[in-house]
Amino acid sequence: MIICFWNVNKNKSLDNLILELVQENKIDILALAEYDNDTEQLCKLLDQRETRYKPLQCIGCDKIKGIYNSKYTQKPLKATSRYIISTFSTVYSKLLLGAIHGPAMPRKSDDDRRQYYSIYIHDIEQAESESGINNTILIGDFNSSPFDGSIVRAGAIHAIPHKEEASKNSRIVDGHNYKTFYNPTWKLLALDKPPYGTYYYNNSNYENYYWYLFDQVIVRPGLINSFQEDSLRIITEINDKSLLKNDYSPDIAYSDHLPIIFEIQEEKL
Amino acid sequence: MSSLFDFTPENNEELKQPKDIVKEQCDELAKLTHDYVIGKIEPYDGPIRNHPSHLSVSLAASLTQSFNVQNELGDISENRFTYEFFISSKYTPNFKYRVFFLDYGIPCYPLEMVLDETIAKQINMDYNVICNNEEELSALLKRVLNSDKMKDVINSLFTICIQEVKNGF
Repeated sequence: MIICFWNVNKNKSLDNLILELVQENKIDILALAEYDNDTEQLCKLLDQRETRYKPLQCIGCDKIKGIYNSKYTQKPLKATSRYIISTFSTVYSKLLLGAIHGPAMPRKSDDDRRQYYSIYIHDIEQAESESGINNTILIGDFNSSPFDGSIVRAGAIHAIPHKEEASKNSRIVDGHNYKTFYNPTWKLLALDKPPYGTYYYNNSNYENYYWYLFDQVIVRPGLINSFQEDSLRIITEINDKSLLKNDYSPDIAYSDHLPIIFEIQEEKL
Repeated sequence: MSSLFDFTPENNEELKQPKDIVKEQCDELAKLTHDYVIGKIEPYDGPIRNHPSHLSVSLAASLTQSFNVQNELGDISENRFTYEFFISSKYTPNFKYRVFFLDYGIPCYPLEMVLDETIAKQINMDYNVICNNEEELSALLKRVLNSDKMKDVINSLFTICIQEVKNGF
């Protein structure tokens, strides 16, 4: 199963490029943030090809839309304005997928996001408990970096960069047991050539990171074996069309964010 | 020794609990949608505040009085009633769209409602709203339930149910 996430920055003229993105990469689930067009229409355009797609059911969610390969079955479990939580049935097993567009800077600080993500994780854990599924994948534009407290802290997302530590499944802090996630996205922070993130923002502040890795995938430890580490990458080209400008920052003629993509090996679920 | 109480307790049945006021509207929604769209208010044990600087109502109320955080903070989490109000439907019983959290203590007012972000914007309110009495709660509830977002969600779920009925499920 190939999953892709892209914040398309409300660009209404991207549908053809999105179609090419889906076809070129054989994407099974495409979650989009800031997508203002009609996903029904996107599916109709895609159905002219060999694979049939359905719109993601995102009732009540303004920030996330998407499409998925109709060979899977989506069952929505929870929605708020900013996220959806659904199960996907595969031939082998079931997955729980949370897709989110987190509150953005500068209006919301990382402390704000930490609070927000504590509610999100409570919803995720409730969905895991009610569905009996612990193969959970979180994707989205978190508006936080992998090293920010809102992503790493127990009580927030609690996404750890090391497989071995995450694989302990939980951690006790001040007497409270917090379940862990593994965040494979850290590896995209250490690339040897640009892009060094999915979002670029150069400023004249004393602290300037230039590149931000806001778009991430985070998984429960039980998915570490089926998560294809080598498949995780930032997409910079779609059918030979570069999503980057000459200075390697995202070309906002397409979007100010770059897509991320990865594969889950279903037979290892 | 004879009783030192100089009053008898009143059975004030007219005083409704905030959750019961919401529950009445759940019943109205069921009537309105022929039992297809379901509103539920259920106890909730997770975090509810989406902003670290928002104080809980009890804490905010306490701050207006003489208050020692060392002595009082432990008591604040006790005797709290926190609920989640969500919308579901007959044909999507496992799906929940959260409309708001409701949090109150003893007495019930002031209470805090933590609203869905889009609904808050649509009705020009902050996410965290304090209601000081039943009238304020009813007025806020009316605005929330008639927001465009609520209409969208209810219409979407109602449409799914009608389609399922037509499909013979």
